[in-house]
Amino acid sequence: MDERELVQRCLQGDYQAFDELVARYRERTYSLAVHLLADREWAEDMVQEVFLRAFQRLALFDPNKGTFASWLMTMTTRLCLNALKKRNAETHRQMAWEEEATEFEWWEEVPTPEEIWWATQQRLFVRRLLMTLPPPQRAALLLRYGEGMSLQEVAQALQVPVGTVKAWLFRGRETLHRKLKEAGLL
Amino acid sequence: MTEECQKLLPLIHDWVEGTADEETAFIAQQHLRQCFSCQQVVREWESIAEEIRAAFLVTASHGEKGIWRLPKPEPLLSWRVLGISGLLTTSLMGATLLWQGTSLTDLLRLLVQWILGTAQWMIFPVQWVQRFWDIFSHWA
Repeated sequence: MDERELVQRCLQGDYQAFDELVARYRERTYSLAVHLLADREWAEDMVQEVFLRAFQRLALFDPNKGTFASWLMTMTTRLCLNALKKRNAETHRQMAWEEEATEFEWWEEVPTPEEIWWATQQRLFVRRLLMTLPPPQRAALLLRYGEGMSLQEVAQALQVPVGTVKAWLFRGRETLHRKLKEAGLL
Repeated sequence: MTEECQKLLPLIHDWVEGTADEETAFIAQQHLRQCFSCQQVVREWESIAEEIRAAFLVTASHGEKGIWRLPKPEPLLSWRVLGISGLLTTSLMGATLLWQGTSLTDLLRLLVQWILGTAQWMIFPVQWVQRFWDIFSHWA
């Protein structure tokens, strides 16, 4: 079923339609949240928050301005970045992203079969590297390449000019490029 | 990679992203035609984008289905609201009757009578209003 139709049905009070929307986008929303927050439980709470907000504000969604996915991802990005800012303000400290990356246990996901070992290691390494980038840069890379959003959509989600997004993408990609080269993965 | 390459990399990146204007695209393409190391960098950028795409999706620790449940809608009249309003009505009636000079025994008798008659009053709202009015006007 088309997402516009699902949104319409949901606005008419069909809760199953919203469940369907959640089922379609929960994995992508969670993935974005967990990459931005670097904390699984926090990301799960954030996904709850995102869908609750989406449910409450569904009437504000305009299908002519973009897809439901980009609307949802924009909401997720803003909520996550605001939550990070709030936590930083509360603790009065700048987050040490390098430390965060090493503390964050991605390795629990490593599967045992040897044939996928290399690919998995590389994927996990990329995730770790992403964690070392500042949150807005990381968000830009994830929305652009992970979610496949356009530059304009990314700029709208991060509330910055397109030029800034381009600069963040370039710097982020260059950082990853350098680190992957150093690790011998490129 | 030369110094010129380093200077041109942001322009090449714009071209790769598809946001370069005609002039920038021309410069980037001209350079890429003759520079093997920049061609290599562009290929590696592409593979980084692929890596991010591959690394993006993460499964929730408690399973995806456990992430979200739609909250149940609140009923318009919850039992709590009904209870509080019933208590307030009873207190108000009691206070009025006491103020009118009714004895405490009579008040208790009326209360029991009122509780026993509630079911009937709820079934017949007109009777409920009439009876309330009767009692009130009698004691007033």
